[in-house]
Amino acid sequence: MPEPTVDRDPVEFLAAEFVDRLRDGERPTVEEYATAHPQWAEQIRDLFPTIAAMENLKLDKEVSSGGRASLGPTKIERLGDLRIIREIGRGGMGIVYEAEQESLGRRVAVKVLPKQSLLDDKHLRRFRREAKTAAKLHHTNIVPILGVGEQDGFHYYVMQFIRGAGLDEIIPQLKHLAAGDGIEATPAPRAKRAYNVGSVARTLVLGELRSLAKADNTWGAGYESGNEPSSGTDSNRTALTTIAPDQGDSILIDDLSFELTDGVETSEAANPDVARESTPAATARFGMAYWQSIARIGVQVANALNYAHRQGTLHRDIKPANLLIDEGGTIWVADFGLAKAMEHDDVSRTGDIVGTLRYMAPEQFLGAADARSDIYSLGLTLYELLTLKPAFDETQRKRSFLHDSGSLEPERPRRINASIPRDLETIILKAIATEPDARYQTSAELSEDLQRFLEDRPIQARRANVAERLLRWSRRNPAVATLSGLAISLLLLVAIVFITAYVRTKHAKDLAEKAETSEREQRVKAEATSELAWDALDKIFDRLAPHRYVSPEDFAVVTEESADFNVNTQPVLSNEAAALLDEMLVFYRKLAKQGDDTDEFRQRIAEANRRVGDIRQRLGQYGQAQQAYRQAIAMYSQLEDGGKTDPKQAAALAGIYNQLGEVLRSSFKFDQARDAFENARAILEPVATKSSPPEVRYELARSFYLRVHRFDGPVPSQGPGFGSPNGKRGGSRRDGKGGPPPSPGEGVRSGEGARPRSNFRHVDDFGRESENIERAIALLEELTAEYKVPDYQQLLALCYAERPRTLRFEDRDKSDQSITKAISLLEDLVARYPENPDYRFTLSTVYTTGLYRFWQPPSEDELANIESRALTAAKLLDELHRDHPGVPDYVQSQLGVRGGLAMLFSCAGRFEDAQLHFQDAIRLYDSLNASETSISTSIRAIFTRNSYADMLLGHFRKVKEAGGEIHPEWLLQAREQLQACIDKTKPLADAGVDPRHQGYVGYLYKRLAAANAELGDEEAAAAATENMKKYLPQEKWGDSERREEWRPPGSDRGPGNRPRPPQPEPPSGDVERGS
Amino acid sequence: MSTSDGLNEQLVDRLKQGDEHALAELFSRHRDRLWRMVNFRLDRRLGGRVDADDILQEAYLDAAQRVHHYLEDPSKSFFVWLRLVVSQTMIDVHRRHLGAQMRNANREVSMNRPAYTQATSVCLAAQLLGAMTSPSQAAVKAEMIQQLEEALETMDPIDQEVLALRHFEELTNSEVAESLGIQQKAASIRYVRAVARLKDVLKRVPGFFDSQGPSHA
Repeated sequence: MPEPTVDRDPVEFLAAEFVDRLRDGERPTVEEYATAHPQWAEQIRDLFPTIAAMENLKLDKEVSSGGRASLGPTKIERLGDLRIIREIGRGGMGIVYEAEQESLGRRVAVKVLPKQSLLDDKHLRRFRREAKTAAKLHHTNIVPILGVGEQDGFHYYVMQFIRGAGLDEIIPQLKHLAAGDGIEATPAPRAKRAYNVGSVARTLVLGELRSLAKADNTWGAGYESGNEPSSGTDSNRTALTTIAPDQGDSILIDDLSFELTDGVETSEAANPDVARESTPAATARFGMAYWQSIARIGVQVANALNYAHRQGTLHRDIKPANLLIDEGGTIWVADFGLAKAMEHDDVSRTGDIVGTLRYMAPEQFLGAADARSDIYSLGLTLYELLTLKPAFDETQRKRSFLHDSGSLEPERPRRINASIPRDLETIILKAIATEPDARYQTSAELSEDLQRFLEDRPIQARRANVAERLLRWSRRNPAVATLSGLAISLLLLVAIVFITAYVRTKHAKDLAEKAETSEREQRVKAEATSELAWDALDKIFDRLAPHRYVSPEDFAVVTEESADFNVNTQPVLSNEAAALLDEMLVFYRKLAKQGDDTDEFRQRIAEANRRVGDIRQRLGQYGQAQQAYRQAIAMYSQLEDGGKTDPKQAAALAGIYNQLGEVLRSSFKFDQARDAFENARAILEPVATKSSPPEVRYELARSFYLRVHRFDGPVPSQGPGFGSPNGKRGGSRRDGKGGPPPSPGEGVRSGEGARPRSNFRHVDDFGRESENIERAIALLEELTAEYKVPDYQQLLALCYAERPRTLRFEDRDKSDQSITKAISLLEDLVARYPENPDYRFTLSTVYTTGLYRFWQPPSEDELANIESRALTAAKLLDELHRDHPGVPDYVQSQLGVRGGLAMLFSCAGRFEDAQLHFQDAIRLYDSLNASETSISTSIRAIFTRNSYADMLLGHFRKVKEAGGEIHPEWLLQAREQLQACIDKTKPLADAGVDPRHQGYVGYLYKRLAAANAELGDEEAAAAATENMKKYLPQEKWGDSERREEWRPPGSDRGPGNRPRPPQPEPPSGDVERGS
Repeated sequence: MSTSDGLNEQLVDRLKQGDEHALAELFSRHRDRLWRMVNFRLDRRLGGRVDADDILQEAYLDAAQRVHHYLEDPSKSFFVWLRLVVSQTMIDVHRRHLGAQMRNANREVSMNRPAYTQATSVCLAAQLLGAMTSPSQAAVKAEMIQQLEEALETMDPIDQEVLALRHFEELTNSEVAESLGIQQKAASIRYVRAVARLKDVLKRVPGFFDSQGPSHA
């Protein structure tokens, strides 16, 4: 081994050796070097991981440069019997060569796969199997597979050599034509193919595929000759000898030989049509001939697919690059079934996947594919030929499947180019319907319809009308699966008709009044119409945003059967539903405006607004939810008595305040939230008695509970429908069941009124918390004894779950009992209403109870118990997130549980476990897309990162002090996490809304400085310290208070003795325990 | 490295004596690294028209024509000279194919061109994605790659160059020094500094070091 010289930086020297060993396939570790060279250990730990990363980067780059396959630095000249002549193309998956099979003296095409593509036996077997299947396909429009082989680790398969070009090459040329540029004068993009792609494009436009044969003169004039391929000047008579035996029904080649001179110009001269057509009149370029060309391509591919599908083989990767068009105009489908066989999960091949993504059917994203998926991909390919732009760009595609909605619909082709025949558009749109059921069910049907189009016969596909589209929309939204989309659209239609009718009759009535004729008759008619319109609207609302139960009376404990009254329709959780409802609010207002501005209608509008708010809340659209709730409250305030006298109305109004409070709290407006809960209490207390309607007592209990409930663990959303158990129409019932307003003396006392604002966490002091929760529990225990309303039961469970927090530490038994009660109530609910996500969600939060409260490390037993519950919760939450991807609460809780587990283990001193859970949490957060990320999730993520960094730092110091083996990766990780926290919170702090934000950022910098100092990065440490000073008041700088630096936010329980991070009380843990 | 053994000198000697096979042998000895260089620096716009093999083939012919220049003044190591020839060939090929699109082909493909600007998002993705299992993950990560590319562009071009030479072209320290016309010591220090800067850049890419996994740590 060479010795370091004075000419080299010693670390560089070691790095060179390290790299050499990596290149030799060894796996030297960073630690090994750090240990062997203690004097440079720090730099080694700092730099070597990056060096290793660079080497990895290179390896990956070489096997997939630019998303295209590469065989690395190897050049292939011969594969067994095959003599490689030249490369004719490469895709993401392999390189295609033209070769001569010497034993048979024939030309073949051979696709060679990069070594990495069939890494293990499983893939290899699959590849061989698929190749075997593909080899059995014999069809005019399918490129025959002649064999497979392997040499020097390169796998390849041999195909019939097709003299042609992929449609992917043709499309850019078509674009040139469409733009009026004429055919690109430069050589075709793949010089070595030496194929006049431009002339193929031209003939497609002209619909005269026969003239493709002219391209023949450029064959062989290619790269080897050193000339530009298009400059071939041979002038000879060439007979087309490679016409496919069956030209099928679409292409007639009536003249197989041509006078060939010089490419395009000659073809124009020889064919007056061509010459005329190719003049700059761009509109003429894309006449019927072109549409027919596309239809012919479609027919051929569909026929090939139909044949293969009947043999049970799917293509799985139909896209322009896999459709070759030969000189005769015949389309050849390549790579049948093989594309998928070669896709492998462990080696990353982004280029491929992203490239193919564009043509993939929505269901394929979910791993399901059938014949209809191929039809879809063909449809998209034809769409692209039709419009000369991809139906979706990749960003759109990405977005659509990330959101799992699959609800992406491309622009209608005729909107892009109005001259596209309507029938052809209809056919293609049918082929690419999002729902497989709405597509052609077999390729034969597609082929047939295209044939009809070509023959000018009426096609079978129908254009989807509005109702069908609505239907499809609702089918795509799983939550609506239970109801008929058609019903909704019909209802909507009915409502609109009625509203229009009403407005008209109203108008007529006014006229009539003037004429003083049949006034009475008109009025009756108007009222009837109005009632119908209201009902129609209400029905739609009920469908889209149902209350979860009809009325508490239905749950009164009379018989056992009534207990399971099945009213738990799942509410629709989708942006579309919310938007639709929003639009419907317009109708409500319109109706109300038409003069029938009575209290009843105001209540209906209030109720409608509230339900919109409920949906918005669930979707985490807190701003919009707030707006809707405030509207609802405004409506109530217009009622004669302000909506506060009638107990049921009061309950409805208080319910809205409770909802509003929750939304406000979710937006971290704790003071305002507290005011809202306070309003709810103030409205209900005067009317609440032991004999009050159940909803009054329920909402009151809820306002008590909500005041106590701390926002540190995941907050179970109270969700729509919880608040106002008073039937379908909100507070509109006036059936008197609520009894007379209670006298003040009988009121349920709440304790007392407003108290001084506490800090931003809105935590009542200890005694008050206990009082409130006990009050809520008392109310709910009574209620649940009378009514088996599931939501009452749920709230009671939540109160039980909340109770331990209000108990003294010594009351462990009581705590445990309370939790057990909560769990059994909820498990019962989940068993009774398995479809209801709320109960599952609440159960998951209760399972995690112990997780967020461990001021001191739990015993081993407790730990095991908490862990197993938390893991159950994590499972429930994963399911919920999967079923309802749009709900931020679920995501937030997922983060919370993982973060909580991490903290738990960190407290218990199980560093590795903690680390895994932290990483899980962070990974989960990183995997979220924008729509799933709410303020709460972001904050939770910040906290998780922060805690993780704290733990890593603390652990590092602990181990270091104990003289154990330290890993600088811990510090690097910590630094990265801190930096991420800073990046997120700094804008907030800089906005200067709240000095606490600045304090928090200051503390983050302080930690960052410490991490950098530990890493020996003095420069960075100094920079961080500078930043810290910018954000933190001077008295907090003290470097000596190391202990405080490490304390996770919230772990000091003293009241406000230092700035708090702008976040809820986090799961807390004493990271410093060991030191 | 292969350049430091005696065989190289022997071959160069044979070359001086007019042995034509020596050039072929020398060329093939260095072919892998030259291929890496070409592959790394080939303009993306040429993708599909020309590949590294073509350029090497052409470069070999150029080298054969020009080898006497080297023999007259063998102050550089043979590899570094060869690399110069290949880079010149590359410039020619670029100019020929991109023509008007790159009037200043020489500058654009110059060896000091920031190498990373060529690293396509796709190949970086390959690195970053690690155990990518689904298209959706790939899509998510593609955004990360963009960030990485942007971050890399903030680095000093010379730093990038040093890294590219050392890692993507697998040059030794002395070869880097020779290629950039600086002292060995300077090249050595510069490399360590460049790695440190790169590390800082990578750190800014969320999840980069996560996805590196612990395999080398």
